[in-house]
Amino acid sequence: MAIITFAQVKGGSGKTTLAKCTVAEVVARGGSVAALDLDPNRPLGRFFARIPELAHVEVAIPDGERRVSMLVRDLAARHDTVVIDLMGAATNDTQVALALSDLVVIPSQMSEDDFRGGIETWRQAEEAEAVARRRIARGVLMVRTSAGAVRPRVEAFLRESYAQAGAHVLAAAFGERTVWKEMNYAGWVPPLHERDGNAAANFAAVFEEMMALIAAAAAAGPVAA
Amino acid sequence: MTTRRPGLTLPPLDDATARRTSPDDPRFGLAARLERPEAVREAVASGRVRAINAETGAGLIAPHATAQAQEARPPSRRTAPEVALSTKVPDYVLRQLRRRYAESGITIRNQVLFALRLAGVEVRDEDLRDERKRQRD
Repeated sequence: MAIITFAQVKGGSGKTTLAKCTVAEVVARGGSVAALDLDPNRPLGRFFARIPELAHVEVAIPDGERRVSMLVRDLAARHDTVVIDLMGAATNDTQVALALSDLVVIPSQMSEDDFRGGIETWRQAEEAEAVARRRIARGVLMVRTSAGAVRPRVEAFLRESYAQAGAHVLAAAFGERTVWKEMNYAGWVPPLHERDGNAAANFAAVFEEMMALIAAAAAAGPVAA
Repeated sequence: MTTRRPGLTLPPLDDATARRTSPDDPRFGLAARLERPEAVREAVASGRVRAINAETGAGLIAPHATAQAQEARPPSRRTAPEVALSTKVPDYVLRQLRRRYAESGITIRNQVLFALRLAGVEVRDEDLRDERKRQRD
């Protein structure tokens, strides 16, 4: 399907939670998926090992011999989807992962630090597209938003601010829900275990928009030289 | 008549997004180039990279920095090769030498050489230079 990277040079924005949910969503839809965990804390493999439906998911980790490009090349040859979870900083891995991606999702909470980090990450993805000379779909995803119907003023403000900076923001947002926090402790993953629930519906909307971004980039043709 | 809502079904993953990425895709060559030490150094210099992942970037920066420092370092002015000398002294003597080093910055080696010169042993001026400061000269 695609190489999908969750990138944000500011830490704690929700990259890993989104990576877990994306892998679960692809598995729930019957797809073949693997992950590359560039967070030295290794949260992905630990999480997948506890969920029977995800225990088979291959999680690659780099070492001195196996570089990121080699690992992703190998995973992408054997799986339809590869999910890359980056460390929350502007590391040497960031530019490599962006250059490998079909889609870059930039999670952003409501803080100014998230906004600044989101813009910087967006710029790096733009650069990656220019260097790679191919379309790299990308979008900012507002996370930890209010799950209620009322959209807080700050979310609307940030959406507008991202748009003014030239960054595309997904219409769907990843809402603040207790179930995402409990996911690690309860082994209960909404995209797998409660697909007709609100949380799963929320992430499915995010996922559908991610897929639409990939399809739109593929349809847009090559990048002008 | 009551109608039941239909069960939920997952939309299939369409063909356009179901292709695997070929190992020959140019992106892998580009990514490999971005992993080279010179590319990482350029990214650090430009500010795009502000942290090195020790697991993927170990050895990318430090060896080059060491090599650069060696290149920038002027040649040694010593008049003879250095050889190791190991001996035992009373601990209070070593404590004094360490204290003098802390106060004056004169290394224990040079304190010993100065004392030997005062005692009549030939020690040339060039061999009393603190070579560790060459980079700051």
